[in-house]
Amino acid sequence: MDATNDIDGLLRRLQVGARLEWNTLDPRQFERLVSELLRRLNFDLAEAQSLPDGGYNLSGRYQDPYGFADAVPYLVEIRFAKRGGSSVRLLHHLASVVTSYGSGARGLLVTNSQLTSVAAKTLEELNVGGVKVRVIDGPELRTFLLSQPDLIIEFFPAGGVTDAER
Amino acid sequence: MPSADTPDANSLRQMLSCCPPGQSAWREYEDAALAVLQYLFVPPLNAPYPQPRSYSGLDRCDAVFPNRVVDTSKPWGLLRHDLDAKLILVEFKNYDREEIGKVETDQTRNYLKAAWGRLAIICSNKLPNDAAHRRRNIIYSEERKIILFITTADLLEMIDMKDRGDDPSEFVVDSVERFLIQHE
Repeated sequence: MDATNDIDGLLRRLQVGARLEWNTLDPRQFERLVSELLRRLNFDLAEAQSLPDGGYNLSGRYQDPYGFADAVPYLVEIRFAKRGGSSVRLLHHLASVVTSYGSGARGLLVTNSQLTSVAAKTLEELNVGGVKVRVIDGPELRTFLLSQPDLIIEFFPAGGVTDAER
Repeated sequence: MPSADTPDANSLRQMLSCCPPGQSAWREYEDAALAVLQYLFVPPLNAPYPQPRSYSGLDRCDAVFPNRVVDTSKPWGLLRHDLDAKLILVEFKNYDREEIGKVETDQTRNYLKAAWGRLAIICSNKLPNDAAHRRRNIIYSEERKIILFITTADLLEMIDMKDRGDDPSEFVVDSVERFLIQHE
């Protein structure tokens, strides 16, 4: 086993990870980045009707890659916040949309900000209450992206201009 | 960049953690927590009036932060719009064995004058008891005043938020939203 390969890989990931600065993105780029990431995580999603007060951006299904479980319908809300963002109302809103949707749907909120402990308690209570809502917040999103270095390179180029803008 | 006489995040964390609970350290706790709130929220809030007295001198609360933010896309602007929060009252409690309860909640309600708006904060070293939580629900039902309970742990979390570039005011907005949702 060549330990230098592992170290090189780690160094490469660290170098690529250092590019991950949310402030270099705009909300539209963030949505595209998250959509692409979710597709790679086995979500099959389409753009949903855009609601003026939020609601959800994408709807579709998550398919267990090994086929051990049935596909699960998901409503996905993507929120880009330049400096934080209040999440309690957002979580309740997503939960109410999920409840009205029925059909065993689950909600997923993806955001670049980090939930406050107040929002985390709200999320816990919603799930205890039977509404299935999951959050991928900034730190977890970062972890997912580190396993997809080509996405980081595409959306966070070293020079600060994304491929999409060229 | 903090000036020489402005404490930085680490010294504020230390100031908070070094306060023993109880009457003997009430002043220390108040100074530390007030310094933290200033670090977190001034600006956009204005510097607080410490221990302002009423005209008759009968009432003296701990601190009042003027809120001149009117842009409703900003957290404090939203709070000013929704709760008419022009002056934010803060009461500090550093209790040991005693509980922070109904009496303290009522005292804060009474200090919060209609002209100031409808948002006050009890900033304490421990979470107020159930009676305090029930009392503030009644206060909201009767007068539409919101009294937030912010603990030392919450202050530390907000310092962390500011450290990583998030806006700690969002914690306050989340707390208001959560209060409104649980209110009955």
